[in-house]
This record gives sequence, structure tokens and C-alpha cells, in this order.
Amino acid sequence: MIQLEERSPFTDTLEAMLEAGASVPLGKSGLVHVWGKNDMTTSQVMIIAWVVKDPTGLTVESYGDDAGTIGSLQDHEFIGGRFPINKTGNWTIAISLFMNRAAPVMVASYSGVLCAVTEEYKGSIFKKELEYDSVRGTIPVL
Amino acid sequence: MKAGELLIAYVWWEGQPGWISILSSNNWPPNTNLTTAWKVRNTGNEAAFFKVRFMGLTSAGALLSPGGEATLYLYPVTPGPGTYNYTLDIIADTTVVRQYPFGVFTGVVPVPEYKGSVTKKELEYNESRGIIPVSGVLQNKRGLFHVTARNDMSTSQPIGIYWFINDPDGLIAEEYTDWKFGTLGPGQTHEFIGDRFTFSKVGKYGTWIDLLMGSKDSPVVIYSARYIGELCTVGAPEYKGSIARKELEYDSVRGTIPVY
Repeated sequence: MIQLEERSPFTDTLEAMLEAGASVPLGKSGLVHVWGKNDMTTSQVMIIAWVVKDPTGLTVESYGDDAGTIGSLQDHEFIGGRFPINKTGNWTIAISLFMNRAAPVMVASYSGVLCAVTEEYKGSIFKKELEYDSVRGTIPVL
Repeated sequence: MKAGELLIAYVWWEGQPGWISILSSNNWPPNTNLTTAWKVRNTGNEAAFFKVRFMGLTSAGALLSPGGEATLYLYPVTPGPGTYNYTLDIIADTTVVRQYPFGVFTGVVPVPEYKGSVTKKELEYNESRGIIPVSGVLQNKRGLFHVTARNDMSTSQPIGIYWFINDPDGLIAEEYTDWKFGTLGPGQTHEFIGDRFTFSKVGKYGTWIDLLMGSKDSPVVIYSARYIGELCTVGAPEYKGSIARKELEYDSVRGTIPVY
């Protein structure tokens, strides 16, 4: 049975995400980890494939790996390659997990948001003064 | 004085395991090339060229001193079915010095009525074994075919097997033939085990089995034991897997995808 998990990047607006709180800061580098699990009673070959796209739809990572034979109810961690997170917005990922090397059968997938990236605004009020007649004083002027 | 005698004679034709003595009355196959060997002796008191003549053929000559012996060969072809009387002439130089009559019957060589049966047909698959046709065989698993044959005759017989296994597309997945070493006793069985093969396709696999008796060189198919039919049904396994966890690592932070 295929486990299909769909989340549209467009249903989660950036505003909603910002309201939710944390997001991935711009300028970081990303690395995807996915664990595939063999839910059968027999050992099976597991193969993974995923594609990461930036908010403009540009593919930044296309990854595939054959884990070989994985025992019954065992899992395997697939680790992709690093990519720069250099655009704000919703980054997406489409993951497919396959079995049966000779004629691959997709057994699980995820297609949706990878992360929401926001610019981290940084600034400070480093000086504040009050000018009265020809006099200026640092606020608070007491 | 010229004189001679026949000491012994043999005949052979293709399919015979060895030489057969030529008797005064013989049963030979019709329309068959024969090799005959005639051993003669010069019983006269002078040397002479000895030849033999049989079924219209004359052999090469051999110079024999008194008491000398030679084996002379002739290669006649037997006539069609019937009963025939022939004479062997022993010739010394140009004189027929002795004659021997031989009767030849060239009827159809009786073929024994072979009787055998296939008593069990089993397929080994998925670490189990079942009488064919079996179902529940999973794609990409290995199969091993076992066929048990029985000699239903009252005499020991050589026994052999032939089969092929075809995949759902009609292509040969396994072809196998073998003969039991030696012979199989009356009422005894022998299990033939094929070679391992892979069920690479989904669908129905079939088989054709022929039980063989007689000999390896001239096998006789026991049609009553023939099986043409289904071997098994192969299905695709229900693959089940899941994405148990997915994370995005950015610098020293890791978050569950989607990372908001």
C-alpha cells in the first residue's frame, strides 16, 4: 500500500507560517535526511529518490540512492547533499520510496513543503537625542 | 584337395549392443544394413584363396594354407518383411567347397510395451513445497520442480524424464531432461529434481512433462504419463514501506520536514 502524504506549499501562506513562529533563516545550508522503513515480513530492497526545489521552482537537489536489502521492519537513513538556502519563501520536496529493484514499485511518498525561509531582519537604535533650542541631549533628557 | 568349413558367424546392425551369432534360423530386422563376419578354415591339403558368398554378395579373398583360418566380412541389406532361405558358399579359389543353409525371418522387431507413470509433481517455492498446480507463488522467488516417476513393468527398465516450464508469455523458463543412472526396478519410483529457476513474471506458468523409457539413445515417450498443464500462478508481492522520518538539517539545527 502506498502511503501518500500531500501538502501543498500554497495552502500554507508565508504569513501563516510567520504567525506560527520559527522558520529557516536565509543564508543557511540545508541537508535532507529521510528514513525509509520496510514494513514487510521479508527483506526487501529499498530505493529512494527526492527532488528539492527553491521557491522559484528551480531544482536545487536531485537525489537518489539504493540502500540494498533492508530487513523486515528495519529502517534506513538516506542523507542527501548540502545545498544553499538562499531564497526566501517556501522550499518544496518530493520524496518517493521504492521497492523491487527489477521493477520498482513506489511504496511511500511525500510531496510538499520542505521549509519556509524568511529573511532575518536585524537592526538597532544606537542613538536617540532630544534637541531643544541649541541644546541636544541624549534621551532620556533629565 | 580343396576343402573348407565355417567355424562361426556373427551379425550386427545399428542399435544392437553387440554381435549376435548367426544360427540356422535367424530373426533380423527388415530393410537393414548388416555387418556379417564369417570365420572359415582351410581343411584341405593345399593353399587356396578363400571367399564366402551370401545373399548375393561375395567377400574379399584370403590366402589360407592348409589349416589356416580367416574372418571374412559381408555387408548385405535385409529384404522387407518375410521369410527367406539363404545359402552360405565357401569358395576355395573358384570352387564352392562347402555350403550352409540359413533361414532368415525379417518380421517387424517387436518393441516391448513400456509402461510407466508419473506419480507426483511438486513445486518447491517460497520455502514450501506443493502439488502442482499451486498458487501463491511470489514474483522473483526461485522455483525447483520435482517429478516422481514409476516403472509399471514387471522388469527393470531405464527411465528418464523431460520437461519444460513456460512463463506467462510462453517463453521457456526451464528445460530439463535426465535419465536415472542404471535401471529402475519393477514398481519402483525415482524422483527427478530439476534446476532452480526464477519466477520473474506475474501470471500463470505451465509445464510439459514426458516420461521416457527404452534407452537414452532411443527413448520411447510414455504418452499415458504425459502432462501438459498449469504449473503455478505467480503474483506480485504486496510491497509495504513507509517514510518513517524526514528532517532538514541547516547548520547545527535539525527540524522535522516541513520546517516552519
